[in-house]
Amino acid sequence: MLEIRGLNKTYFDRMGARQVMFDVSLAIGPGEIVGLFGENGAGKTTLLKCILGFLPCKGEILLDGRPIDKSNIQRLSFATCEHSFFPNLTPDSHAEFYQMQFGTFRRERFRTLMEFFELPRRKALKSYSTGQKNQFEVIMALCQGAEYILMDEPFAGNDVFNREDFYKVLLGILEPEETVFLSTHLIEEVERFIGRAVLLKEGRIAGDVSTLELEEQGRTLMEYVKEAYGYRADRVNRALENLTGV
Amino acid sequence: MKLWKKLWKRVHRLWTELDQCFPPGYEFTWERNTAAVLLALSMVLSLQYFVKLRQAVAWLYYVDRVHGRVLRPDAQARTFLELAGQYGGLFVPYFLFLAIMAALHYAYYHRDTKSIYLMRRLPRRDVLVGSCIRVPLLGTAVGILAQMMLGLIYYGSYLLVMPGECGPAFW
Repeated sequence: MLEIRGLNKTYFDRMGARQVMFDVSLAIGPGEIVGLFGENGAGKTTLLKCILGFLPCKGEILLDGRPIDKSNIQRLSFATCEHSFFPNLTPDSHAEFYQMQFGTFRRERFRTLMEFFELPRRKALKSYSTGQKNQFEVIMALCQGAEYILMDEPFAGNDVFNREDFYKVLLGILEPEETVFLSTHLIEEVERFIGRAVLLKEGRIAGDVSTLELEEQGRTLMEYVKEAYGYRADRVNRALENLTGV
Repeated sequence: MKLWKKLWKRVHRLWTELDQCFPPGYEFTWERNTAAVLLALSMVLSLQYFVKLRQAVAWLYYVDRVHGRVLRPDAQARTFLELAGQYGGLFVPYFLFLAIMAALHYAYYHRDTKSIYLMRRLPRRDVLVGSCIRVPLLGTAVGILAQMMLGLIYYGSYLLVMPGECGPAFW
């Protein structure tokens, strides 16, 4: 169980102190596939980076009741749109590196996914296209052998078919204890693949719902998100009216 | 001869397989070569010591028409440190470059991609620090060893050519 209790994050810069996360509490159980949604600047990336210990923050982040440190950090993996691989190395060299650093590396899964996405294994990653780089980033997060797989906008730059393939593969290969916490803007696209949606708004949890609940209520995830965000559908029409005078 | 061959093979292997000491995927050739050139240059320039030593010895003598080169009665040898001390400064650029290397290695993890996120997630935290400072530390050891070796040679030659009557001293 990944637990976040009373998380507060403040950035200090030339403009002074700027709080971006306000008392965020969340618990993600093993085997869940959770979507993390929110507008730009809502704090999605900050939340993921706080969980991984990349950013200092106040509050508690626990993995099965224990703080995340070097003894349990390998239970978390991370795929980011910023990419965390070494651009000069080949995928095979990465596999070796992961194997050496993480005893849990899933070599067979790595081989299968590389073949499925037809990624060249002996080419330096810097020569990959952006879509391929994203695929590789996610593959490594899935193959590290972590129980909690955190993803931050991993498919930014991939075409829709590619993304669709990935969601299906993801559901197909995940083992029952593997948990995915996926931050994305592609609400409608991931709706069928996630079991739960967490909404962030201005650094606060604005909604937390299971897709089953939504189904029972006969609502789509997009409708839920719009409601939680207080989206004003007439805003665009009014603006157009003002502009065109019609 | 066999021992030399073995030693040379070892040094050659270390030279070419140095990539394991650098951050993963780091293009290290120019850094390795620059460090080697700076070290070699410092060592070569320090050879000026022999010119200085020769002059210092020459000052202790005067030339007599009858007896030839004669030691001055009040001759006082300059100490070894007076003669060789300043050459340690020649190694400063080399050691500075090693310090810069450590900073460059850390910056590498933020360049092009954010591989720092991977490095900071490793269960062995020393892997990140080690990849940044391993080569600079190795370079420092090599630099100190080179200085010590030169120091010994220079001090040996100092003792060899300085007349004992003039009170040669280390400092």
